[in-house]
Amino acid sequence: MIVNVVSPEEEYFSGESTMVVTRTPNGEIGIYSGHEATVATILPGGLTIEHSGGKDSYAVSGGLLQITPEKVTVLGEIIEKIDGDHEAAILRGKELVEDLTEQDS
Amino acid sequence: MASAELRIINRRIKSVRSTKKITRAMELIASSRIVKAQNRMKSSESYFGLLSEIVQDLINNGAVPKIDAKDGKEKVLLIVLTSDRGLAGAYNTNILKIADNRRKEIEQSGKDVEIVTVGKKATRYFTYRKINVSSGYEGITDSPEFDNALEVMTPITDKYYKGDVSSIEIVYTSYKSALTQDAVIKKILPLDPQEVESKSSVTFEPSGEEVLNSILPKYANASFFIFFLNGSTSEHAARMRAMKAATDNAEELIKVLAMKSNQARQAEITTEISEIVGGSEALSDAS
Repeated sequence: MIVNVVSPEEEYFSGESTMVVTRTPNGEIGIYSGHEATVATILPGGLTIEHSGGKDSYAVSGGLLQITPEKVTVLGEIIEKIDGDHEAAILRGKELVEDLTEQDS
Repeated sequence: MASAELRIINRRIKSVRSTKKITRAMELIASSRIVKAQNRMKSSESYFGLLSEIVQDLINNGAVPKIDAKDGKEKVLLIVLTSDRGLAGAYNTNILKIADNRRKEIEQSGKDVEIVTVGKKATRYFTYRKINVSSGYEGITDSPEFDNALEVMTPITDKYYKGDVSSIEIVYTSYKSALTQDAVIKKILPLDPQEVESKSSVTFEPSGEEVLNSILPKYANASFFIFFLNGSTSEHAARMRAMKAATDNAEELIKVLAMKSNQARQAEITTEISEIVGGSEALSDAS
C-alpha cells in the first residue's frame, strides 16, 4: 500500500509500505494493506512505517489518519524523524506536545 | 572649475545611482525569496488539500462541531494580514482598504468586530485611527513558519470554541502569479456544508463528531497557514515589482541627468573659450 506522511511544512514519507503502526484513541494500531476505510485521530506519540528498506520511526505531536484499502495518509501537525525504534519515537512525540503547551502558557 | 549647475547635477546623478543600487538589491532579494515562498506554498497545499477532503467528508456525513454558542450580539473576528515593512507598492494599501470597508460593513449589519492584525503595517493603520486591535503580531510575515501560524491561531480558535466569536474572517493577498495578486476576504470558520453526495462509507474513529472536533482547529490552523504563505509570497512579488519599477525609473533619471550634465559642461567650455578669445582680442586691440 502507498503511505504518505505530510505536515503543513513538508512531506516526510511517500512510498510503498507493508505496515504502519501508530496510536489512536482506541489504542495502538497496526495497519496492513486492505484495511477498512477509516478516518481517525492520532494521539501524540510515535509513528512507524515498515517498508522493504527497513523501518522508519517518527515522533508526531498529534494529527489525523486517513485509511483506504490501498492508501494510508498521515497528517501530522509537527513531525520529527527519529533515529531509533518505535519506543523512542513515542517518548519524543509526547515531549513535542509538552513543548507546545509550555509555549502557550 | 566646475560651475554651480554642473556640480549640482553631478551630485544628483551620484545620489540617484546609489538609490538605484539599493532598489536593485531589494529587487534581487525579493525575487529570490519568491521562489522559496512558492515552494513552501506548494508543499503545504498537499496537506491542506487532504485535510479539507476529510473535513468535507465529515460534514457531508452530518457531523456537527460542538460549540458553546453564547447569547447576545454576534461577533466577527477579522484577521488582517499585511507586511512589516513598506516599499512593496500597493500591497498593504489594498489590504487595509478592503479590511476597513469590511469592518464598517460588519458594524453596519449590527455585529461586533474584533480585529487581530499580523504585520506592523496593519497594527499601525488601526491604532492610528484609534480602532481597537485585540492582538497584533509582528516579525513573522517575512517567512512564516507553521509555529507562527499556531501562535496566532490557537487563541483565536479557543475563542471560537468558547463561543466568544461567531465567525472568523481573514483579509489577505492571494498569490496567483508573479504579476497578479489579489487582496481578498475569506471565511475560515464556521464551515459551510457543501451539497456534495458522500462518495464512500468511511468509518470514523472514535466518532464523526469527535474527529471533527479535533480536526477543526487543525483545519483552521492549516488554512490560516496557507493564507499566511500566500500573503508572504505576494508581499515579495509586490516588492519585487515595485523595486523593479524604481530601478527602471532611476535608470531613466540618470540618462536625463547625464544629458543635462553634458550640456552644462559643454556650455561651460564654450563660455571659457569665448572668454579666452575675447580676452586675447582685447589684448591684440590694445597693442
